[in-house]
Amino acid sequence: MSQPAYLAKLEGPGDWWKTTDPQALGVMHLLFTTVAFLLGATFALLGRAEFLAPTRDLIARDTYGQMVTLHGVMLMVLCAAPAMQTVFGNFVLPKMLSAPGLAHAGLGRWSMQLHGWAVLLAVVSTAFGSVDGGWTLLPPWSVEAPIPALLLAVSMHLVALSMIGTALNHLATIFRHGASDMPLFARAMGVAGGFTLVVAPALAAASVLLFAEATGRAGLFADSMPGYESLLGFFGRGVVVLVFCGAVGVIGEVCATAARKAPHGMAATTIALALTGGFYLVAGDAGDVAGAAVASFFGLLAAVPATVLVLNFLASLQGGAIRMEPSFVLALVAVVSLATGGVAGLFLAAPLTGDYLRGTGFATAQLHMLLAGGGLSAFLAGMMHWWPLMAGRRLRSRRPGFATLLHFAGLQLTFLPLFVLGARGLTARAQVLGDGATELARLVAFGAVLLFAGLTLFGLEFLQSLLSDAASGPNPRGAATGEWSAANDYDFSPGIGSES
Amino acid sequence: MTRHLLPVLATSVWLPGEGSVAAGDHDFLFRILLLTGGTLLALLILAIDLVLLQNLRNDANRVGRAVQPGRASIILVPVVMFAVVVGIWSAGIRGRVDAAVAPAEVLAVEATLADGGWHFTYPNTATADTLHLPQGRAVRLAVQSDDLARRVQVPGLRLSGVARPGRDQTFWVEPAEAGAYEVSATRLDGGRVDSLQTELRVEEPAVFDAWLARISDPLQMYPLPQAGRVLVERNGCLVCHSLDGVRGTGPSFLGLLSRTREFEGGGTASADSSYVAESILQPQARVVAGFQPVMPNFSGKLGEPEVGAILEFFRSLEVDAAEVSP
Repeated sequence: MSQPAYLAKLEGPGDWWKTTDPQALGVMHLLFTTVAFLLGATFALLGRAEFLAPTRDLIARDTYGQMVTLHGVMLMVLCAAPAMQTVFGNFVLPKMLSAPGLAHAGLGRWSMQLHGWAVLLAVVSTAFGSVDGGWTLLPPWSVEAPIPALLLAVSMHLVALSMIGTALNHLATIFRHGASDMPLFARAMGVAGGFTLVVAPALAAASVLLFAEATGRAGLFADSMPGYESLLGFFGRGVVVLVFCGAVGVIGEVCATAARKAPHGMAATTIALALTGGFYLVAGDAGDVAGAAVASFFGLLAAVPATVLVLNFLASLQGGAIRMEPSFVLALVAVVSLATGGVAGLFLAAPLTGDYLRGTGFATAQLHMLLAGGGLSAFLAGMMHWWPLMAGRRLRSRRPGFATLLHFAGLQLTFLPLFVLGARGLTARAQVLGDGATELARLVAFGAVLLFAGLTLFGLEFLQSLLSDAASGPNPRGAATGEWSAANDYDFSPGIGSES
Repeated sequence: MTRHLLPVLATSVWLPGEGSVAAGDHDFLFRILLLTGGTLLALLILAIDLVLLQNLRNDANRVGRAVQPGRASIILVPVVMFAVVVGIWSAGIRGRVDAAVAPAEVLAVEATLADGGWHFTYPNTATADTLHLPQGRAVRLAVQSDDLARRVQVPGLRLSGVARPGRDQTFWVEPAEAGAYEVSATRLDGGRVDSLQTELRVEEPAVFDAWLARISDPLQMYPLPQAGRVLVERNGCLVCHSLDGVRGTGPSFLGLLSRTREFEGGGTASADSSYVAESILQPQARVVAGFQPVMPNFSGKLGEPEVGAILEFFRSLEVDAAEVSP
């Protein structure tokens, strides 16, 4: 078997665009996510170059603001929010549950196409000028360039609809085909699906407000619009939760395969995951002192179920016969990054320290530790884990091993100094730094270069593997879950659940 | 006392010097969190290392076996974590409530962000572009934004908040250490960050009082005619008196000095220096015909040098008018 079965049915781009095959859907989503990621990451690298000359402006201020804005929109909305569920969820979930397809095949195709349009619109919007206003596209600054703002508002709305479609589809698939002993990743997708139905509507609603404002007639934001900020603030926390759910699911599968044993305590892990995400989600900014006290409490409380997750993770490895392989090391990087982000989250949730640190580089560093550290590492681990199923090709271990090393060093160098800079008073997204911050800022810039070098190596490895003819065999690492099983090596039936 | 419990964790790496009493509370909690978080992370990494050391089996044909961790750890660890969380929360809430309650006696300073800079107004209406605060005295600092939402930060005093149009950000703070601190207000519109910076100088009370007295005294701050103008503005004279010859509730200041005045109840006088000084300090003594006797008495508020400066200002008005219309 040199080529996975699902690829055989797809001939031209038209087949890919109209596919209802969940594995092909996953690959299409991977394509869209990658486009958004590459754009967002490029803007980040350009922005970080600014830190090489911290005390003067390398880039004009407006341009810097626009780069930060596009970096945020591309990565938060078009990449991080849908990535875990649309790529791995679609690709793996049905076969993991021995389902004949997604519960609603047509809905799967519709969600995929919406995501595609959304990314296309966002890319096109950059040709019509640049928006400002941060990743939340805060008016009035975002609508100073009305055409890109309109396009991005539509793009955000489509992503929200796509996310809701995907979540409904996954939940229906799980309810129809899930069993009490289903794998951890499937459970994580169930939890993520539930959270999506809560957080994606916030994005949908906010994008309608933005659209109305960008047409220039609404005047909704004349006296600023705290409601808009609240919606997107809530969605932003939701993105962290969704990425966290996906990461926990992926880490569980990768570690189970590396340790050659099933994850420990899956029911408890599922409940703890839902509680961690839920507590974090409700701990947003609050208006008054009492509300802030409650929010602080829930933010801190998330640490309690999170310790259950950590204990179960350790118990999953204990007693195993662990092989060191790049995907496993990446999963460990993800665990340590998530834990670092979680600990930093305690500083931000606690009263006093949170009041002082919110809105500083410390908060930026924490978000990036969770998303770029935890989320991206877990995503790469998942890519390496399921690559034989996606491409039917083998990955070597030396180059990814080196890439993982660069990735880890890059993460620490980029974000640890940012914690310190933030605590010393550096405002989030600040372009010019005060005296004494120069050395740390250079480390940040240097770390960003390492991070991107590591990612480039990963990209090269995937590309080279695609072009090589080193077939992987059906289940090279002896993974135990259903998507690898020969019994599930069937074609998805084309019409299941679809209206056609 | 409690602030020095944990000298091991050098917060000086992390934070600027403690410039206020509340900064001490903040830094105490920050240290607790550093200690807790550092311990948790270290334990996690240690545990991962131990598990790897015990369970690494690179040979091909091994399988893992399920391990049931002790019930004690399953219950105990989350319970301990819950206790830690409650502890951190209650420690922080106490500090936050302290920071939100107004002390009995405060120095109220109003900060305005306008025309690309900071402006501070003190209770006696004196203004300055840098912030000076007395050491050891409670201060209420209300920051009013321009037409942008801005994050206001004084890292040295651990102050951070958001001032929005129409919604001021108020801080209660008691500066503890004399010294210079950064003050910034950064736009919150995401990408385009521009920051209005100024300096806070925390001074010993005597030094602060001397500074406040100096900036409060226009005679020390400005040359003579201008000092008179500032006095006229600050004392609210322009509510009733114009500078352009137009009659208001009271006569205009323009052309005042050269005129002959007729009084209610008869009598006239030339408006010379001693007459004008009298009508500032004791306006009810002689009221000009056609005006109401409504002007307040300034005898306790303005001394001879101030009145002299105001007269000098009135004279400068005449000179200016003469230059405009020869």
